[in-house]
Amino acid sequence: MIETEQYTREQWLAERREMQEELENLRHEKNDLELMLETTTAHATEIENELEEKNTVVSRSLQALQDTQEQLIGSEHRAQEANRTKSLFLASMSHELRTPMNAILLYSELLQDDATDAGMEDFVKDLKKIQAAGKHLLSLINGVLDLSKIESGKMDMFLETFDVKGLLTDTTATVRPLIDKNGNTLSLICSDNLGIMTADLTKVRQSLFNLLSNAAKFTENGVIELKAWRTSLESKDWISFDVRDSGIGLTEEQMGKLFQEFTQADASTTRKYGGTGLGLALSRKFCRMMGGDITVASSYGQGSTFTIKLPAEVIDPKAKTEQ
Amino acid sequence: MSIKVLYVEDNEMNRDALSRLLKRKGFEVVMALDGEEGVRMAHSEAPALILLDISLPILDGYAVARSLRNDPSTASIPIIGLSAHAMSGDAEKAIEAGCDDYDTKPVEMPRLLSKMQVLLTKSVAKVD
Repeated sequence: MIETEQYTREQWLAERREMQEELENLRHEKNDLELMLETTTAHATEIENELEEKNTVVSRSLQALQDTQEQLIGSEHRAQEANRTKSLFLASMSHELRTPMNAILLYSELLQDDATDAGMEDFVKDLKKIQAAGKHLLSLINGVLDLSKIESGKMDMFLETFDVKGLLTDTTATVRPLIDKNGNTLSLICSDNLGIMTADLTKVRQSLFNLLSNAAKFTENGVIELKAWRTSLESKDWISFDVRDSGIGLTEEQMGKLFQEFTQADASTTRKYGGTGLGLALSRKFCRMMGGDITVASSYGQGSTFTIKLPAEVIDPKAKTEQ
Repeated sequence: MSIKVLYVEDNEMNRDALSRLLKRKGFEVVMALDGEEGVRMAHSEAPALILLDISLPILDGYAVARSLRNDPSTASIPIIGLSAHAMSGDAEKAIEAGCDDYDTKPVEMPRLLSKMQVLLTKSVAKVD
């Protein structure tokens, strides 16, 4: 019994100690937790502050972004407006320039007649130069006008269906004097299945004429070959025209610059052969408008081959969106 | 007898130069300075062919062409529209208004003469 009591007391003491220790532990734990809570709260406040700061930065950025966007929209409107003004200016300028050009060309022709009748051959020569310079100026005006129309998306397409062989006969007849001038011969090779095509006739003719007159210009006593054929690719028909000459040819570097506006193969070309450097740039733009392209293959001194490739049935992108 | 051409043009220099060139080629040239006078003279002069500038005071070339086409007494006179506007679509508008052909200014004499020749030959064939 006593033993039991003694044991119980010891046990009680031990239990008490244990509990005290546990209490102490809990106190420590509480302190730790309190400390942790404090730190965490401080940290949370810190994060909150930081968040607030960042929010301010974000809303400021947002405002700046909005301002920039508004500025951009404004700039875009101004740019569009400026472009419209430019196109309008070019169109009316070209009209204003053409009227006096008309007078210059007609009067130089009148005077040529007069001078011929009066037997003043020296005058005739100079008057012919005035007329040629006038025509050159006119072709520049036309080229610039065409380029500006393409750039402002105002170049319309007039699609018509025509006989390809007929187009070739017409164009070769027009270019004949230029071919003959340098003692060249022109051969026309058409495949039997050429048939008809639907495209902007004026633009196809102008592009073909440009390639042929270039070939004639850069070839002397040589051969110019115009080849036309039809191919089928992925259920689509294509018409291709090759203009091959035996002329001066082009270097790699010259070929790279060839299709840029106001650029010819090099400066000496301009001096020797004249020209505006607009013809090929325009022709390529015309062909691309119609969903085709112009490519060139050449080696220096060996002549050049320019190829126009067009869909046999050109689709007007404008007409499609309007419907 | 020379062929009578009516030339409707408001620009004085163009009128003077082109009319003189045409006279040298053997045409008889009568001239109108604006669209209204052009329509009037198409009736009074009964020309074999009309050269019609498109941008004209009072009545523009399109209106002149339409008016002449709608009148039986002038409907068969061939008309060549002339314009310094090179905007694509001008030629189509001129043909739509009733012009038989169209040329851009500055005119090139050989080109214009051949267009005139084609139309004159056609209208003679019609009379025969």
